[in-house]
Amino acid sequence: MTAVAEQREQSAAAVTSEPVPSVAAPLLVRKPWGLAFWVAVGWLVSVVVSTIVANLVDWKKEVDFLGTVDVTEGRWSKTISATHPFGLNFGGNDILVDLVRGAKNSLVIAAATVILGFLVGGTLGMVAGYFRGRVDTILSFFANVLLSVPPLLFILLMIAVLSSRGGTGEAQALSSSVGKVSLALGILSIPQIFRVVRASTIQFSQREFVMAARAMGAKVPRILWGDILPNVAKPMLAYGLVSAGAVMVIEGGLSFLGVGVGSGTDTTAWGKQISAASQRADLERAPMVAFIPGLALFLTVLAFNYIGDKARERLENKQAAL
Amino acid sequence: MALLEVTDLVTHFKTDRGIVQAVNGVSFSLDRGQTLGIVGESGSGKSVLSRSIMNLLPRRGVIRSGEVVFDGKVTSTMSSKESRKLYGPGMAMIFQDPMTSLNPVVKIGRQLTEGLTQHFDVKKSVARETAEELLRSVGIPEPKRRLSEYPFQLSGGMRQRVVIASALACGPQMLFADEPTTALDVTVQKTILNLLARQQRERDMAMILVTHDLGVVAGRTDEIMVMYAGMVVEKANTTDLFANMRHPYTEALLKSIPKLSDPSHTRLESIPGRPPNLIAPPTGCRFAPRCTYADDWCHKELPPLAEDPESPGHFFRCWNPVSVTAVKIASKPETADASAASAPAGAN
Repeated sequence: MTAVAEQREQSAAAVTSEPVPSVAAPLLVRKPWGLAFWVAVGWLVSVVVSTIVANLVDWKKEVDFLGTVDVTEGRWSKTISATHPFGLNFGGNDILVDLVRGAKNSLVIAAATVILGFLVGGTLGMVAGYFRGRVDTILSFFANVLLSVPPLLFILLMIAVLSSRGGTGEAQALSSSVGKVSLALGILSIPQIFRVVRASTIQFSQREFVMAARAMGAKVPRILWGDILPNVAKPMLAYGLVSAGAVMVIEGGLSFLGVGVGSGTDTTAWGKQISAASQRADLERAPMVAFIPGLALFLTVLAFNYIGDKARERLENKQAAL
Repeated sequence: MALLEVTDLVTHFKTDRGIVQAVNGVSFSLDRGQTLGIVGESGSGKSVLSRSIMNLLPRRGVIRSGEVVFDGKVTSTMSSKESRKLYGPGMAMIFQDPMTSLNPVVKIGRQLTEGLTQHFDVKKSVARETAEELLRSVGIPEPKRRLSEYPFQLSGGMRQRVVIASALACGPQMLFADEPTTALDVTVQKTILNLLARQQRERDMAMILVTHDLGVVAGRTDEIMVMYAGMVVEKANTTDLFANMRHPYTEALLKSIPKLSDPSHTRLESIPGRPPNLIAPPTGCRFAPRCTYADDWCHKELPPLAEDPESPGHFFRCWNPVSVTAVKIASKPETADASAASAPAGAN
């Protein structure tokens, strides 16, 4: 997942170019979040709400597909009508409906991957960072092993293994589900998160308040949960948001390799929707069919990154004030 | 029987460069309600000593020997689980820097009640009331509001008061104050030290005040132990020590305190050289390389910690002790110069 690192570098560059608030500024006067932040939050909220609503309603009944011109038979713009504001795609489905419904899988994969990564990688990272010694050596070794596995090979292998164990036929050996993709991406994200959390934990474990907690008789789980986690969690929140954006991009990439979520015309995630319309002939005929889900993906990832960046900026200021 | 009995405590650290002999054979005892001052410059092993007594050092890479008996129980060999029960109601510690010893992202109320809920079966509401009471007792105005604030919303002095309150939360029998005022403004130092003294009297605690500043311990402690390179070099009750300091290091420490009575631009006296390398300490007296009175014998043989035959209870570790008795008390140190000038002591 080098994409995560790239995203972080880009966002770091964005932060430094912004004016640094004066040290003398009163601590309690907060800089406003800014309009762009709320636009980003608004976009994410509307994507989440609309996809929940859309997946509760049976749209096949609501939207009349018949009587409209299929893209395969004519120009994409001809398929636009009051009932299909974004037109139809090559499967004859309404692009807006697919977009809204497909957001669910993209978001679920992003969330599940990041949650899995933080649950496993974060816990192990805190344990390794707090205890150091042999525990740290062993865990760090496994993290490094996992980091040195080529990520694409690993994902393909994982999905192949999971599919064959699921009992599906050979022809469908590479079909993916949300669970398989999340699991593969989640495992890949573990060592990254492990390293970040471990480094952060080491830093906070050496602070005197940890020794103060020990001198008060606190047990190790209590120190990890009550004293170190609150310190580590806030910067990790920002990292998690940026990772979520990165995961969505990677999921899109997987669809191009044919291991994305959904198969054939049943386009259930954004990545698959883009790739389904990305045959060369299709792109020449109706580029918008691929472009619309691409734009949705782009805006959502941008929103994740921007919110993560803003959150980090805010938290870093607060940390510096301590 | 004394509350705390430390016998021949040794703490060495294994490092890549060799074994650091941080604490070397320290013995002392402390009664309930008594205050012991441990004085020494940076790297003299005073902080390691207090952490070693409290079993707060990591197990890995630490060589320990000697015995610590607290309240009739041998604590030096306790497992971390056993010593956890001892903290809070038994021993508590105040750290040097309130900026780092409070958790920046945890509200003050929770930091204060943490010890209470850990050691006693108390309800949250009761613990909160106790915390409020504690804050009031350490002189924090509006304690109720402070409970829901974060450390960064308080000033340095207020934070140290919070640290003291959290150390006192479980009513310890013994309080370690590890340089409690070093990170604070001079104007705040006095109020914090007075607060500690008052709390100690009210609670009849034993207290160990670790500092590098002889001025801090003057008049606030019953006994003073001066440490150098992990060893006790002088130990006496406070009035005795200031009236009759025998070790050149103690004298040098006192002389390095700036005096208001000096004319301006007086060069501050300092101790030449640096504290010795604790991996390969000098043979003979550890202070000899920096000592103005040292002779050949001092460089050869380590002096024992011997009792002054003229004043029982006054121990010092020196072949060439300072013998003039003119230094009275730290707050009136102008006489110290006169005495020091005529101080070259007799031969061994």
